[in-house]
Amino acid sequence: MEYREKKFVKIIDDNIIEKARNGDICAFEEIFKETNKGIYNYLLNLSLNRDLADDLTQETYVRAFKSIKSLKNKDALISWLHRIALNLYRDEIKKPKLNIQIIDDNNENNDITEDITDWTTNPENIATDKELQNVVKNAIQSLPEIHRAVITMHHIEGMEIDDIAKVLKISNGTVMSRLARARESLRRKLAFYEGKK
Amino acid sequence: MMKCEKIQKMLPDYSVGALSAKKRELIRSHIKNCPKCMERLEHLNKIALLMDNIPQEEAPSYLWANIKEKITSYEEESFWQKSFKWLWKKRIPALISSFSVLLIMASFYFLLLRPSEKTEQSIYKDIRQHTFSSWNNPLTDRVVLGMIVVENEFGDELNETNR
Repeated sequence: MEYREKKFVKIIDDNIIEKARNGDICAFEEIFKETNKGIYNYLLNLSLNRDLADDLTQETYVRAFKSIKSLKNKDALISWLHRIALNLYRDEIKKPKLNIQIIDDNNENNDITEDITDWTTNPENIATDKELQNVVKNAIQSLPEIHRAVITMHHIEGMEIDDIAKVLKISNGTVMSRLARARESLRRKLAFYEGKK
Repeated sequence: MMKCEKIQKMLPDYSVGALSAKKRELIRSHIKNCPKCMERLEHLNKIALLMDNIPQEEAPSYLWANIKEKITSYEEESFWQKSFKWLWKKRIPALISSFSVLLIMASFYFLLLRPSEKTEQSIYKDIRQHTFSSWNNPLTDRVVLGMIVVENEFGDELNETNR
């Protein structure tokens, strides 16, 4: 099966999935290696909390190992893992007294009105501009959860619309609509840079 | 020509490819001659490009060791331990709630909806009595029925009082 992560393709062999289904921990470790980054980042962007993302990533794979026999369609592995992660996250946020500590790695960039590189430079510069990326990353964290979820899966992990729709159990149209709304929210949040020349 | 405001409202959907061919064409022809809307679209596309290039964070290296430990201990559990855990987590709460609902329904049935203890024979007796008593006289129909009901319900009490 194929899992587009960024600009390269990761391939998880069907045999590996089959071995994992038969209880082979080494095969399951292969699956973990190929997919953990995506699941961790997904949970990190949902919860905005590193400790919680750590715990939920572990729990996602433990639960996946226990129930991998129920995975009928091997092509749906990535969506299935995301679905487990999402369910665990939803269970977690229902619990009372959850002390969420928002990620605060880039204190100096949290203020998105800060003076940064010219927003209107050419696409190559934009794509590699770390400062600008951090500003956008912080702006993403300020979006509502439903928008963060689709942005993370589509833009940061490189998942297709179809797969995102399966994870969230919504239609492709709703996924695209959420993506569009999220982009528009970000454009408004970053409008300051638009006029900066 | 469509107003910029309307076009700009559609631009986010256009940028993700969610519009129909007709609307896409409408926007294409508009932005060719409208630098302001073109700039707005470019801005949306730049945001998409930036997000596509945000690097993913590495998950902590200790994750697999912890997962493996949990998986191994799960594997070592006996069939009965696994079954008990599964029952406790998934089935016992469901069984308890089903049993409670059944209990409530049963109490409701016995306390309020329990059928009369009258036997079939005594019901036929009442019908016969009612039919003969009100024979060819529809006006007495209700009166006789009332008398039968009163006798059935309070017959014992009435007999006690008469004594």
